[in-house]
Amino acid sequence: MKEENFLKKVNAISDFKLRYSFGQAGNDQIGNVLYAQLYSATRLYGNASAIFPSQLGNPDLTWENREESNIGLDLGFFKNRITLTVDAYKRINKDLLLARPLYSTTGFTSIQQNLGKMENKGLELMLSVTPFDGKFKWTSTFNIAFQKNKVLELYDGLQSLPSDASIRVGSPIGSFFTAEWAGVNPATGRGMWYDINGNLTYNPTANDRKIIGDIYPSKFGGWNNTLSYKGFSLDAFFQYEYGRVRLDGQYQQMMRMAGATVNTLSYGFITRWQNPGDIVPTPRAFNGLADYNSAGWGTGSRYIFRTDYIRLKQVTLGYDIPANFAKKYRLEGARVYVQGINLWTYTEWPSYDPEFTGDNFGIIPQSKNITVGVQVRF
Amino acid sequence: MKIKTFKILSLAVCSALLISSCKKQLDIPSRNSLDAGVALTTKNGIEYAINSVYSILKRESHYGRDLFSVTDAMADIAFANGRSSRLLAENRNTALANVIIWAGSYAAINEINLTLAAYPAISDATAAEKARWEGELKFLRAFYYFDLVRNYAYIPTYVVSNQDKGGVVINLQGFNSAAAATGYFPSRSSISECYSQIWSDLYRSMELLSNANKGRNYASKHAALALGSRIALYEGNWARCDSFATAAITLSGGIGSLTNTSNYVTGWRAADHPEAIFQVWYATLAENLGVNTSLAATHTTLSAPGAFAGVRQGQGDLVPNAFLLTQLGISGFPTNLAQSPPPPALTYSNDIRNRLFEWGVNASGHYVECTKWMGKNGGPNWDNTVVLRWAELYLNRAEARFRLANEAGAWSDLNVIRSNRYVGFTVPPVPLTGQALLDEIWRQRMLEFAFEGHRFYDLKRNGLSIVKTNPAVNMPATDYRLLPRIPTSEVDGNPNLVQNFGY
Repeated sequence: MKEENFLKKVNAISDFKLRYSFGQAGNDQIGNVLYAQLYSATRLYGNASAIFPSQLGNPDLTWENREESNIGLDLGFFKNRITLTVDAYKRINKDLLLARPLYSTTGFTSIQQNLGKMENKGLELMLSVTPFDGKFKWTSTFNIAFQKNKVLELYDGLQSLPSDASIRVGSPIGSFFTAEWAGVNPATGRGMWYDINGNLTYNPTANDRKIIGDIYPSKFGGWNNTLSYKGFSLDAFFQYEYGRVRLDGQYQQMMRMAGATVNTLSYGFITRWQNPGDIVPTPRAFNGLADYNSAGWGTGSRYIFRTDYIRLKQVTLGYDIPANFAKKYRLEGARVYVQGINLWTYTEWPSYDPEFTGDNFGIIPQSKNITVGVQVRF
Repeated sequence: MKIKTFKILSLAVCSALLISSCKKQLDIPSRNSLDAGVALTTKNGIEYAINSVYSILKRESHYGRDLFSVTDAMADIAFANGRSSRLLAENRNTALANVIIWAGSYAAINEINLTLAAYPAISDATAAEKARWEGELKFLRAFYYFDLVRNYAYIPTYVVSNQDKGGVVINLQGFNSAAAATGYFPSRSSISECYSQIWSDLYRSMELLSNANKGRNYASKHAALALGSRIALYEGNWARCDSFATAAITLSGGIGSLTNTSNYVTGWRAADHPEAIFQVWYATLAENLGVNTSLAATHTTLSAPGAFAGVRQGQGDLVPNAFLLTQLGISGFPTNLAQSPPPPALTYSNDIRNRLFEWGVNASGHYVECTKWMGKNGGPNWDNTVVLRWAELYLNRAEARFRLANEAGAWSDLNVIRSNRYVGFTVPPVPLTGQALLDEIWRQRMLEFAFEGHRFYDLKRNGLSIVKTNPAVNMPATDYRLLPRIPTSEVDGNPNLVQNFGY
């Protein structure tokens, strides 16, 4: 668009592009025998073979279908000293090839079926600025991505998936759908939950479940700065992620509080309920994984926490030895640098490290490290 | 070695079944799978399909452990010592800590329904073979439905009517199409409809099966009569309970016999208990449920009787509580049950049943443990599970006769048990009567079937509270926790299926 007559003469605008695309694709990664009804011979009784129906086939399987549309904008100002890139997308996945749960009174737990519709929407922004571009150069790039997914429909007009009630029409996939933790009863030291009406209960029921959050961040991105002056250069990269929650399996395991004969976290020990009137976050220590006539110690949202963080992912300070100085010693070049990885993190996540995928129980946290290096080129 | 044998066997099954229709099989990649269209078209196919129905009983959730140990942990005779943290919640009657047999039982019932529909078309089977197949399948369907309904619903002799949400889902059609399965939104039948269905299957199995059939590892007429006496007792059909127990006791050519004070202990040490009428068979070592959840591992740390100073074999998680030990006539154990080494000698009364209770290995202390299972089949954790045995016939009949106002008959049955269990027993000159007689019948059931999965149902069907001092529990029979929760995934999305009260 920069080449259009009405923009050619606007000097401040150095680049202007508008993009749009639409596509449709199928996914043919369908297993070979998902259609077939099978018996399997993997059981035994009386040291003789035992066969059982292992799969209820579905002859009506088809491909998955995906529609995707993108709209994008590239803008450049002042000879591209400021550039802005914006991308928005929307993807709709249809006829998802999924295991459709069956009521186990049929003798089966699921069949493969094309079902449901899901939507992914997102917006990505990248702003790059170069305030100084001389001997002293500074480039700063900031990006942020917003994303949202939701289930648009299931099958048979269902509002939630029977086998996994956390998959609900209008809510994101990856949601936690459980009872909300209400803290500790100061009078008795027992853990409490909210029922669906917001009243306290020791035994939340299936009806008391609600969406607590989901495992996909709603916004994330980074901020990168590069500064250089003569032979010196400084790179600093921050990374951040907001809006996701996770079950902290590591913390849960270490907060068993006399539920097993292992040490507990000192936080749990110090904040445990001891006497009537104590207003504390940790229930009384109790030999067993549930108090008398109470739901289990890890039920509901008690160990679900936000993983929001900002992290100084990488910072590098370097110095390139001047070329003429290097030449004296018959070197092509030399560089001295100090690099730090994961030096600083802001988070309220209780366990080691908020940056993980899957379950955090037993995983090794990202290490913090500092490297001092010399690179010599001959 | 065992695994190898098993693979070869499975291969053999498939190839045997394949001969009849090679073309259809061509695109099935797995050697352990075969097309459903050919699976049930041969004699072997039907036999193997029936085996699968039996094999589900071996699971931990069924007679591998839970139907015995979870229910006994919930009842008032056991203490979960937390050695491996197992069964603690069940012992404390925590909500949701209950048996979970829903999905497994319905998988078995679906297999039964499919096989019942398929067997009449087998052209080379004799009428006798077909009768046996139908008889075994109907016994098994009655057995699975009875376990479902006695757990997930109230037992007819004690129903809390304002909390009664019905029996279980009854379905007699096998599922073999996606359309039928996805369009299935079942509802619960009433408790009495469930019992009617169970009776209709059980009566048919009695007509079809021979007295001993293939022995105690399979269904037989003897097993059907014994199961019938239990079902009638739970249903409060006293006359039927009386007559079924009598029929089972007097059946000629049946299975096993009642043990007495001289062979009681050796009976329990044998791989095949001489009193067993029906048992779940773990035929090979590889089938045992292992060091955590087998019956032997759950109840004892001992590798052999008297080996309390030896190497620890199992977890020994669920032990008799002080109440049961005292009732069994054992003394000399500490009040908190855990004894630091060396354990003192215990004192035993003349009740021969208490000889199966002795000091276990020191693991966070010695406990007096139940040794009904200790790898009797010839390897660690490897025991059969006896489901129906002779003593029950007399105790069922004693209770039924008491309810029929035949106290003399009840007293006589009660004394059959007592004279075969107490060394030097003489019948007291003055018979017990009224509540005292009933209480003694119940007490004998508790002692006779300790850790054999009876006590919880005996309390439940009689509306008795579960009272324990350690852990401290006082749970009336009206408490919602008595019934398990139907899995939420069965209720979510199916407006026809009503969840149990309180969940």
